Amino acid sequence: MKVELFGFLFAMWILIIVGGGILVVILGPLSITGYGDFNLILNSGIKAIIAIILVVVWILILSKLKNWIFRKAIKS
Amino acid sequence: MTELIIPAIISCIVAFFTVYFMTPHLIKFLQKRNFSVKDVNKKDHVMVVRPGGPSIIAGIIASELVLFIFFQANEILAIIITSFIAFVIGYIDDKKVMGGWFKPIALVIASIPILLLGTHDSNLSFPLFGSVHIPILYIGIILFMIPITGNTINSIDVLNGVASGFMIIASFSLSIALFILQNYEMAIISLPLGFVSLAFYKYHKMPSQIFPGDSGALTLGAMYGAIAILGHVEIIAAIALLPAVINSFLFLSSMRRIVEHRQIKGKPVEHTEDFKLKATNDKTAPVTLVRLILASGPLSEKEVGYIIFKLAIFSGLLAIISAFMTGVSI
Repeated sequence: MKVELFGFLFAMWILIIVGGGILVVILGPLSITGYGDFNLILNSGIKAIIAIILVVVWILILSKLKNWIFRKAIKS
Repeated sequence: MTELIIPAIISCIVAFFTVYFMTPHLIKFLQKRNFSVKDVNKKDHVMVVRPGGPSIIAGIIASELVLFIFFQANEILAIIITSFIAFVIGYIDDKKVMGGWFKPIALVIASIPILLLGTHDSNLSFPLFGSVHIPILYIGIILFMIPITGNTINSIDVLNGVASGFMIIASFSLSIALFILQNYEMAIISLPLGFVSLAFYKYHKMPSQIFPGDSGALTLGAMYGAIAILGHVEIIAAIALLPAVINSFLFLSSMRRIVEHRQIKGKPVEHTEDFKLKATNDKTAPVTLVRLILASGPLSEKEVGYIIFKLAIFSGLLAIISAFMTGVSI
């Protein structure tokens, strides 16, 4: 079980690095203009929605990964 | 850089010795008033006093005040106030058992000083890919960060010495990461957390003479979260904390709700005849890090603790590697 735990930690780390990359690539250049005072709110709102979606996807992947790694380990 | 060495040394000495000398007096004080709980993982009827939070917060405040004399930085005030609010919240929970939602919601208040003192940034930095500017979203991250780090450290406080030992490894990893990123002032401000944890570990390690309680664990976690925000190392801090994050993640994904551990009926772990820890087959019990460690067979409390420390060292190394990667951009 120890090896699986280290593997899960490493997988989480990779997911954080990759997830961060996607976040920077998608959210970094995103900029909405033409709505005057609402630009900042719109920008932040859209960025928040994308970030939340990415976090949910991240948790789902992690959940699948957890089931795969640990079910396999417990069965063996 | 050299002018930072003296404040760093003095604050670390103050942090360590405040907790080192205060905790035995606190233990005697708590014993006199019979503020003790049963150590459930011991064969004999062993009672251990709690909470150790007062000596932990005293060490943090004393050492950070020393640093404030040298630096007069708002970041130090933010750390002191945030940690103190977390301590008060934990102390309330130590004295009166509150519902599962109390700590996460109340800890949001602890993050407000960081906002009010204007010590935060609006950029979130990622290893390899650079940073992203999220002014409003970042406020949400601050409000979430302190409750998450506070409760995460609290959730791993399940065996003798684990919370303080884990905090030593995670906080020193974070300090090293801050030095690598050349954020020297914040690195020095973060050092007392490691030294406070180190001094407390002397009394918390197996067999524990004192438990940190919610007041101790929340204080350590909140200070860690505040350092992560003020040092702009949120992601690196999360990486160093991964074993505790896994514990919370496993717990929440198995229980599917926020619940106080005292309210759970199913037991994730039981004892063998020789009082080793053993994972149960109880489907109503939460999946936890300790339960997973024990899935391959019974282990002593000490052995489980050492496996958690090995996981913490591994994630600490990943955090340090991530700090090196943050300096590089692809």
